Amino acid sequence: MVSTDIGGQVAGRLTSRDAALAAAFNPPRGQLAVITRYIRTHRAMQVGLLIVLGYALLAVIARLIAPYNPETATSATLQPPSLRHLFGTDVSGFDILSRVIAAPRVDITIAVTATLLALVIGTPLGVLAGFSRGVLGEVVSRIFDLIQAFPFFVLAITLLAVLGPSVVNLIIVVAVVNAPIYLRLIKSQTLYLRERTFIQAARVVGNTEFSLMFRHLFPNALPPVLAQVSINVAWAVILTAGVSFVGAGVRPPTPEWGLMISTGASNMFSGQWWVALFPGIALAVSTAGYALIADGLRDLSDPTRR
Amino acid sequence: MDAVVTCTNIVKRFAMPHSRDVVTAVNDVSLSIFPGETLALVGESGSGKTTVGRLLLHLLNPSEGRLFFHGEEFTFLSERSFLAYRPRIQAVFQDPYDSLNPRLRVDQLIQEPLIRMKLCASKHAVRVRLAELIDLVALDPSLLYRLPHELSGGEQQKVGIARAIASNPEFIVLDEPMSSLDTFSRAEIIFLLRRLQQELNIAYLFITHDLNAAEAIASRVAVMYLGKIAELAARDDLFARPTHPYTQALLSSALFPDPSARGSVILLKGEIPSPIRLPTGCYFHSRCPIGDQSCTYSQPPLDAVADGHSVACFKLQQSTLLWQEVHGKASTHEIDLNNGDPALN
Amino acid sequence: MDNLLTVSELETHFYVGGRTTKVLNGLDLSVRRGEIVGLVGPSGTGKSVLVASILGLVKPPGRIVAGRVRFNGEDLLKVNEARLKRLRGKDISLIAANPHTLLNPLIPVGAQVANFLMAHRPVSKKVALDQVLEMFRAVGIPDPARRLGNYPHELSGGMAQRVVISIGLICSPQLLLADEPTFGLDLTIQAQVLELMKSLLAQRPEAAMLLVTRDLGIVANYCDRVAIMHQGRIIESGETADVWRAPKQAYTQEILGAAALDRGPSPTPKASVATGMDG
Repeated sequence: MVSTDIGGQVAGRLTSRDAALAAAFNPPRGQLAVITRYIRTHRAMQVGLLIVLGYALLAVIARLIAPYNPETATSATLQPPSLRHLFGTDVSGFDILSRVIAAPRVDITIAVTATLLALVIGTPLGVLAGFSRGVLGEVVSRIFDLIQAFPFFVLAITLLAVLGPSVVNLIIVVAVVNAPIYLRLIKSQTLYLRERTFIQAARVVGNTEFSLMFRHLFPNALPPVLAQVSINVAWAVILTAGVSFVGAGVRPPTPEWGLMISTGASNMFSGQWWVALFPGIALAVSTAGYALIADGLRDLSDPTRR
Repeated sequence: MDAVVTCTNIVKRFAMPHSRDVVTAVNDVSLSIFPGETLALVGESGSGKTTVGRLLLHLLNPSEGRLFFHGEEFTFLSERSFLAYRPRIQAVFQDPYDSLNPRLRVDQLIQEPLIRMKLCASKHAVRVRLAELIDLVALDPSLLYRLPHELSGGEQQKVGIARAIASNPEFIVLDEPMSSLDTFSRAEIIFLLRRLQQELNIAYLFITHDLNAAEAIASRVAVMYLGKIAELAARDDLFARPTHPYTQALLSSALFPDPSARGSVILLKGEIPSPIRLPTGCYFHSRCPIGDQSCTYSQPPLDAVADGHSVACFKLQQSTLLWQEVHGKASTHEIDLNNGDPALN
Repeated sequence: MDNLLTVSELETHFYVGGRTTKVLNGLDLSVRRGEIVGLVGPSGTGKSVLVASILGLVKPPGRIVAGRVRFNGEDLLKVNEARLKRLRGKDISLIAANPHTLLNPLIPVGAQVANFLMAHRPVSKKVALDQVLEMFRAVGIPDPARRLGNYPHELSGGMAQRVVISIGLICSPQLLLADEPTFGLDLTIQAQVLELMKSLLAQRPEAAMLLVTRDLGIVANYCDRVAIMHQGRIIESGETADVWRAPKQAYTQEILGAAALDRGPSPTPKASVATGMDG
């Protein structure tokens, strides 16, 4: 054990030692202050947060504030926007407004869960793939390369055809399709970081291979990738919408933007523009919100740019 | 007296990633480092000095040769088995910013060895030891919770040094610890390193291309060229009587900040050869001012020419003459051996 | 006593984040024909800004606010950009560090130097390349004819730096501004480069060099006069040997003291133990 005998030898040293001790036992306040201050100055991120939080709020309370039950058909089919139905109704008599604001719950649940799942699968394997110099890393990389080689949309639809369309399966499929992206990102970060001196230094101070990977490489490889998460959520929303658009995803009468756009697409030609437009706008705005947050996160995650 | 660290006949080869070339970075090097001394390992790019450091730290495995710590061989130990030695062998790296995890605070960086190697009985003990360390390296306590990029180069290097001495090591490899620092920080760090060595009796392997720094801190100096040791001697001996022509060229190229000591420069021909295509015979002969055909048949062995002074050269007589020619009498950097009496213990 | 360059009361300010930093704060400096002047100061003190100011290359957020830069009697701060362009490279030229960032990686080095020459002198490509070949020979690039066709990445650090020096010298400028010209080069290569620059200048007594560096060793061995820069001004200058022997300013004393890295006591006997004595 290392000696901790301080026993003042030189008077001058004693006072500086006191200062050192005081500092060692008095850490300052936390990091949260830094983050909130940052957000306060980053206008684009504020807008993005507003949008995303707005949708998140809708996800929670939509069903309570919706004027009509989003899943109850009425006889008022294909009504244009009016005071009774602000966004109009579709071919089955569903109130479009109610469905548009109820959709986020489905989309966000799927998109966020799937993205987190992709992160959880992809990142540790990515660090391993980047760090391991042996066969294991190669095998993992190749498997994920294979997954990524398929056009993601085709892959998603095929997997859903096999598993059957349901929300859970949709989550799994979106996660699987997105995991290789994280793996690849983290792996390339890891490959770069691996050569840096602080990793060598970490070895010298007694880190095992495992703690090297997860205490030093991972925390430094992850943050640049985190900016990707927000974009990924946006993509997951679009993927869900797209898959539902072709009928392989969420089934009616569950409200979901893609499904609604699909239903309303043909209506465009017959002049009922409102059926597809409103869900389309909602989808676009949601995507923009995630993108703006992604921008902000990218800067926030670099400790030297704060 | 027992050496702390010894390497015998070390060879290290690297395969180039996209070709079949092989680089022999270290080629039959044997060194011993004794308790409390500083061995400076001096050379230019391609000399292999950094690789020797990495080998002694068990960050690389040698292609041939053996490594010992206090007589115990550690050449073939796995990373896990070597962990037991790590508290006793530590390192300070070249670019202080690069050697510190940019996401960890100063206190986390310095205490990491204590925690990883379980050197303290409690969290409280860790913090106390931390306070001791920052006091030892004279680091401003207000910097304790900052991130590396908020510190100056000199301060970052102090963090690196504090981290290195945390486990009370017997041996520290310092890989160009001062090359990225400004003049004032360099002076500060050299003084700090010397003081720590005296107080804590640590042996240093001081890897550098800066002869000024080597002269300031070393007790012995080894000069490397293209993976081999050209000359090995006690510090004063090397600077006063450099025998290998490469050492002479290096010393004359080293610019000491003293206008009254302008000597003539021994200019070498050409560039440092690529370590992939090494010349035959003595590696240095292609640039050597006194080399000739007879130097191309085999590599010169490292032989003793005086007490504690070894040189690897076939043309010792000519090299001695060359030095006299260039420098005439002793240069002003020669220590006056009469007043350099070791009254210092 | 012929002043090639006289900088008087130069002030260059930078406006960043709402604050004004007076990087150059009343700087006086002169360089006489036939001499090498060393400009010393730790990094970040504005040495490179001074070089940029002399060349008229200060861009926002920086601005030259006051002062005079007299070159051959002409105040460079008052001439128009066209005239500056003619002077740059031809009468005043720059050699900087990190040759691989200065050279265009996509063009063979011979062509780069030739292009530079043709931009300043009315010569044909063939004539230019001949002169470049001569220059390569003069700076000691071995096998110069072959090197003309090499790309920068095919050259070692020392070789590439010589190409940069060729660019700096090919128009036979009167004033050479060398900003850390040997930074990052190995010691023996640095010696070759410095000796080369010294001898090339010795051949042209009407020319002069301002050598910017933080390495006091280079200054002590190669500069006739030295100027110490601190907080935006030159606080001390004079013949190198004089400044070393009797530094007047506290800062100069400190920096010279720090650079000397005193050798400390003679190594203890136990250390000369390569022969294994003692205990």
